[in-house]
Amino acid sequence: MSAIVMNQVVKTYPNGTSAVKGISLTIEPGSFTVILGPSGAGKSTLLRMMNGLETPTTGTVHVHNTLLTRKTLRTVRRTVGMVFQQFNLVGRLNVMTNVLTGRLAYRSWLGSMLHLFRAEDFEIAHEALARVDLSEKAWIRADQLSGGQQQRVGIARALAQKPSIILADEPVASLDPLTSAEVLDLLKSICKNDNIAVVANLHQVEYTRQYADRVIGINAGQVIFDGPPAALTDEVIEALYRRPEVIEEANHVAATTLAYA
Amino acid sequence: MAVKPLAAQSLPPLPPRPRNLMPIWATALIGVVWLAGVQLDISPKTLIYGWDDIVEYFSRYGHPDFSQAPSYVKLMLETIAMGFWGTIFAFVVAFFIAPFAARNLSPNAWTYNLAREALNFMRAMPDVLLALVFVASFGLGPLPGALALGVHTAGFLGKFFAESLERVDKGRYEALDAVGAGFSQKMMYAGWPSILREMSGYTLYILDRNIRTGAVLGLVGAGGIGIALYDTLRMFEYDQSAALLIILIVTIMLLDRLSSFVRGKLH
Amino acid sequence: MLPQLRWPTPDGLPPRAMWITLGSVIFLLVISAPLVEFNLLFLISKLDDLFMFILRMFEKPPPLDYLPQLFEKMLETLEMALIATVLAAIISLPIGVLAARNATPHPIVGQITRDLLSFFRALPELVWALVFVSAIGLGPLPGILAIAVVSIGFMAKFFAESIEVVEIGPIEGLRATGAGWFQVRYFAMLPQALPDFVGTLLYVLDHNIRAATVLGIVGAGGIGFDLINSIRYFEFERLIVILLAIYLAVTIVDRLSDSLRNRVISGGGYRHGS
Ligand SMILES: Nc1ncnc2c1ncn2[C@@H]1O[C@H](COP(=O)(O)OP(=O)(O)O)[C@@H](O)[C@H]1O
Ligand SMILES: [Mg+2]
Repeated sequence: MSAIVMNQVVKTYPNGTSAVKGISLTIEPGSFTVILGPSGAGKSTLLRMMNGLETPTTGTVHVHNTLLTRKTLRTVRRTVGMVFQQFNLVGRLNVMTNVLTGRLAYRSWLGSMLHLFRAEDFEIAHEALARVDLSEKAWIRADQLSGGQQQRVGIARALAQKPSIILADEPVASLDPLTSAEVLDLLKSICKNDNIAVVANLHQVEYTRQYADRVIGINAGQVIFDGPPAALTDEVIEALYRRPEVIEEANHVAATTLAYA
Repeated sequence: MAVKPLAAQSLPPLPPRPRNLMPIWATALIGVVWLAGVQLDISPKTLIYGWDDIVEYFSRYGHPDFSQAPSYVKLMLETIAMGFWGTIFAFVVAFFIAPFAARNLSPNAWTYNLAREALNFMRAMPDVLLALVFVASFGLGPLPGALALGVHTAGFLGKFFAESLERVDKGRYEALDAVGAGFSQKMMYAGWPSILREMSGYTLYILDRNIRTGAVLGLVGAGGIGIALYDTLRMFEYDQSAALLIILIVTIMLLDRLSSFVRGKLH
Repeated sequence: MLPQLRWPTPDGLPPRAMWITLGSVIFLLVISAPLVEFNLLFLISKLDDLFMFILRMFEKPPPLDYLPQLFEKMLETLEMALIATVLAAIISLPIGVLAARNATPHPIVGQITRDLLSFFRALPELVWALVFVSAIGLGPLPGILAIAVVSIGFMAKFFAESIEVVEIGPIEGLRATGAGWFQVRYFAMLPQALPDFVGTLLYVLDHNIRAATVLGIVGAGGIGFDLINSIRYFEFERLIVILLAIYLAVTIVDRLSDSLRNRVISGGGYRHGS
C-alpha cells in the first residue's frame, strides 16, 4: 500500500495563480523523498495538499488508500505529521503542552477543555521529547527556545501523533547550517528507524543530495525530474532553477513542434 | 500491555514540574466573588423567578412613538456636540500636561509627579459625578456636561499620551538634545510627530466614548438626550422612551462604525 | 524687516492633512457652540460659584458618624464592580470566539454577534441601570446587570479583535495534527489572545469601579445614592468624604491593575500549565 497517491492534482488559487499544474505521484512507505525546486515553484502548495491544508482544484489525493475529503480529513491528518518552516508552535504554551497537542486528534474536545491529558498521552509525549533530546526543556515556554530547539519540538509534536508519514515544509530554511544538519539528521533517522515516510520540501541542492532517497524536482507547478539523487546532474539542476517563463516557452515550443510534426 | 517496552523505562527523566498557581488563583477569585454575592444578598433566583416580569417589562417598549422625533434628534445633536467639545477640551489639556507626565521628558521629578497626580485625579473622578458638581455650580445645561467630560477624559488622554511619549525611541530625543533644542522644541520635533498616529487613535476613541457617556449626563441635568430619556422613563411613557432609545442606539452604533472606519484608515 | 518664513514642505505651505484636520475641527466647534450653549464670559462669571461650592465642602468638620455607612457602601460598590466584571469575563470568552471573523462557526453568526455586542455597548451603564431598576426593582442586582451588559459588549469585542490578529502559523500547526474545531480554538487561538484579554479585563475592572460609584443615582446600589443625596440636601461635609473615598478606591485599583498588567504583558508571572 502506497503512503500517498496524488492523481492529476491541479491547484489554482482564488486570485488566479496557478500553483500546481497537474501532478501525479506516489510516495512509498518509509522513504525519504525530497521535493526540490526554486521558491515559488509550488512545493508548499503540493505538500499542503497531501494533508488537506489546501484542497486541490481538481484531482484526488489518497493517503493510505483513504481519499482525502472533508469527512476523512481528521482521521487522515492524525497519522500525518507536519513540520513547518516557521515551526508553528503555540509560543505561550510550554513545550510539553505543545507536544501533547499532537495527541488532540485522538481525543474529544470536551476532554481537552481543562488541559488534562491521559497518562498514556504523557508517556507518548515524553518519549517523543526524549527522541528529539529535549526532555529537560519540557516545562519551558516554547517561545523561549532557540530556532533549532523549536523545530525539534515541532518534530516531537509530529512524532506524538504516532504518524506513518511526516511532511516537512522547508524545515531548515529558518535555521543556520549547523542546526539544519541536526534537524535533517533527526528526520532521516526517524524515517529509517521508525519506518516513517518523510516528504520534505527543500531548496538546497546539497542537502537534497545528502539526505534524499528520491528527489522530485518541481518548477512552475510541474514535475521536471523524478529519480534518485545520483541522477541529479548539473543539467537537471540548471533546468530546475530556470525561470518559469523559460520553461513555459520551452513547453510551448515543444507543444507547437509536436502539433506540426 | 503486560510489560512496558524497555525504551519507555530508560527515558531520560523530566525536570521537576514548576508549580502551576493558576487553579489556586482561579479558585480564590471565585471564592471572593461568591462571598461578595452572598454579602450583597444576590440570588440568581430573583432573576429566574422574575424572568416573566422582565420579559413583560421589556415588551412595553414595543411601540416606539416617533411623533416628537425632530426634537429628539436635536437633543441627540446636543449630546454629540457636548461629546465633541468635551473631547477638544480634553485634548488641549492633555496636550499641555502629557509632556510633563512622561518620565523621560519631564524636566524634573517634581513636575513629573505633579503632572501625573493631576492626571490621576482627573481620571479618578467619574464624569457623572463631575457633571453633578458642575451643574450644581454653573446651573443646568450642556456646558457643564461638556466640561465634566473634558476634565475626566483629559486624565485619560494625558495618561495615554504620556505613555506613548515614553515609548518613543530615546535616540530621537537625544538627537534633538544634541542639536541643543529646548523642551518645547523637543516636543514639537520629536515627541508629538512620533506619536501622531497613536494620538489620533486615542482621541477618536475618547470622542466615541464621550458621545456615548454624554447621553447619560442629562440624567443629572447636564443637557442632551439624557434629560428627555430620564423624564419619559420616570413618567412611564414607554412609547417615547422607546423612540429615544432607538435614536440613541442607532446614532451610537453608526458612530461606532464611523470611528472604527476612520481608525482603520489611520493604520 | 520680517524674516522670510516657510513650512518645510515642497510648496512651503502647511501639510494638507494638518490644515484640513485643524480647519474642520474649528469649523465643527464654531457650528456646535450654540448647541452646547458655550459662553466664555458666563463660565468665568460663574467660576466663583464653583469656588464657593468647593469651599463649602470644607466648612464643617467631616461627619465621623457617617464613616461606617460610607465603608459599607464603598464595599458594596467594589463588590458590584467585581461580580459584574467576573461574570462578564466568563461570558465574554465564548461570545468573543463567536464574534471573531477567523474563529466564528459561520460568518452570519459572527455578524449577528458583533451587532449584538455593539448594541450592548451603545447604552452607557447608567441607562441600562435605569432600565433594569424599572424591570427588577432597586438594589445592587440591576446595577450588576447593567455593568455586566456593557462590559460584555466591550470585552467580547476586544477579545474577538485579539483573536483576529492571532498568528496563523500555530493554528495551521494544530490543524495539521488533525485537531478538531474546538481544539484548534482552545489550544492555538486562546493562549495567543489571552494575555491581551487579561490586560483588557483589568481596564474594564478599573472602568467598572468608576461606573459603579454613580449607579446609585438611579437606585442601582452602591455609594451613588448617598452621593446624590448629599448634593440634593446640601450635605457638603458628607460629599467631601464620599469624593475622597471614591478617589482613594479608584486610585488604589488603578495602581494595582497597572502593576499587574505590566507583569502579565512582560510575561513574568504568567505560565500556562499543561
Ligand atoms: N494562498 C495563496 N494565494 C494565492 N497565491 C498563492 C498562495 N499561496 C501560494 N501562492 C502562489 O502559488 C505559487 C506557488 O507557491 P508555493 O507553493 O508557496 O511555492 P514554494 O513553496 O515552492 O515556494 C506562488 O506563485 C505563490 O505566489
Ligand atoms: Mg514554500
